[in-house]
Amino acid sequence: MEITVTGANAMTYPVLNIWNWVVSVYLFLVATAAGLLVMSTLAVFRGRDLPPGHRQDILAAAGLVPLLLLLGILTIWLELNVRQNFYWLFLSLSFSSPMFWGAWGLSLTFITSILYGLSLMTDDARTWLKFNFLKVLSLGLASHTRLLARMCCFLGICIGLYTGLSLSVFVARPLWNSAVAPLIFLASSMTTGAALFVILSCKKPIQLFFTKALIWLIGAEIITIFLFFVGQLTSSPAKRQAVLPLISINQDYFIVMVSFILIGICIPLALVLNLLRVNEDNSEGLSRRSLLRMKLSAYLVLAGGFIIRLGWVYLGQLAKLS
Amino acid sequence: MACILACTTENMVPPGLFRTRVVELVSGEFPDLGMELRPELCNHCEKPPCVSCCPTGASFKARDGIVEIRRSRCVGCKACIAACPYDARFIDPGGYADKCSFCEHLVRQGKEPACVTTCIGGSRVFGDLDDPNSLVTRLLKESQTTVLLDYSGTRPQVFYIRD
Repeated sequence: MEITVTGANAMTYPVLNIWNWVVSVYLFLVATAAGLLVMSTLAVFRGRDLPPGHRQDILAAAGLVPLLLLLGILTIWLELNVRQNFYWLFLSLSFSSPMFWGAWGLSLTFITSILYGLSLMTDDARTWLKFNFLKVLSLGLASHTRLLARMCCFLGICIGLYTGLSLSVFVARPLWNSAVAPLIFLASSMTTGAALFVILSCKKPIQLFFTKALIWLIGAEIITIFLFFVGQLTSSPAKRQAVLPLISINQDYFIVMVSFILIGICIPLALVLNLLRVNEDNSEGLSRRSLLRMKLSAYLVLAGGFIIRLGWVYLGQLAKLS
Repeated sequence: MACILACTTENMVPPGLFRTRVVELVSGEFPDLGMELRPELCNHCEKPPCVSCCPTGASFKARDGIVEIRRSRCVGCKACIAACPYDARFIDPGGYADKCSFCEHLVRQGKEPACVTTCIGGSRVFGDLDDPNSLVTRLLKESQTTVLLDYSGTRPQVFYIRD
């Protein structure tokens, strides 16, 4: 069949061409912030009497969350074509739009994460605060750390899910339109959060704890990616027709996708799988080689997390219903 | 392709952008060839995904069924372009989302859209589906019709009569 189209718009024909690496950066920043937030709250829940050194690491990680969220919000604001109308994202009650929920969710998470970070501050850390009202607020919030941690854990999970949900609602784009997509990106955001903890922390018990968390989270990510492919293969004929050419073994993109999965998931997992046997009480005895593998694994997970989002945004625009 | 030109002129669509298009499908093998010329535009769906995904309420469905865009609220996020299975939308040079509006400024004066008026073959028919006596309603009753991407769940309101 020969098809000629007169009057096609370049941004939709022959394939969708509206979003680029900027959206991938936004998704990565927000997902990493969500993962870091949830991981820091887990560290708070886990140890009632945290050694001062450990608290410092959790505080540093929690302090990074608002910064990552702000960068993410700034990135997506810059991506908008009519930036001066952005306030309508908050004024309209478009409950059916994930972006409306995302605008409110990100704003709420940003504020809550700042309050959470203030609540974690020790007396020494408070001396760094320039404004007196922040010191007073930090003192007042110190007794509410666990409540704020629970709120942040919930919000972090919601934001992690949102990064997958925001694109999966588009029925017209069959590759994105998967019920498993929010779960894939939640697992991915948790892995990048755990990986960042491994990189940021200098304490071996913390590095080991989050490396072990990383192993289980990568396992969860592999399961969700497998379910994604199963979902695509068992979907409607129209959807299979649109998506299967992209994930066919003959297609260049498929080889690229498999490489991403290997670099970002399988290799990091293989590097640190044996560390599951190491008890945290014996973490000081970890060899330099083990520490190097933990860090390398974490960096690969971060790179993989970004590359997966880059591939997701670009590949999703190639599939269309016909 | 006069319909494309009429639409562009009537709605001052910027150069290089189109609110309507014509798809030419040639199928079969010589000498048994078949050709279909199919105009495509916004289907003003009953369940428009562009409206439900719009985060600012810029895209909305008017009472008369026309799906419109409120420029004062549009942030140019392009979610509506991704949501539309008919690729009917685009971003204009000002950054706002734009698409076929059924020439609502003409329709509300009792006139027909520019593409319908200009069609020399009379292939485009416009009317009120809620009016049982309108030409459109009668044609739909008498003819076999199809819609584009009926499985997408959008309930498009543009029908193609198959003779």
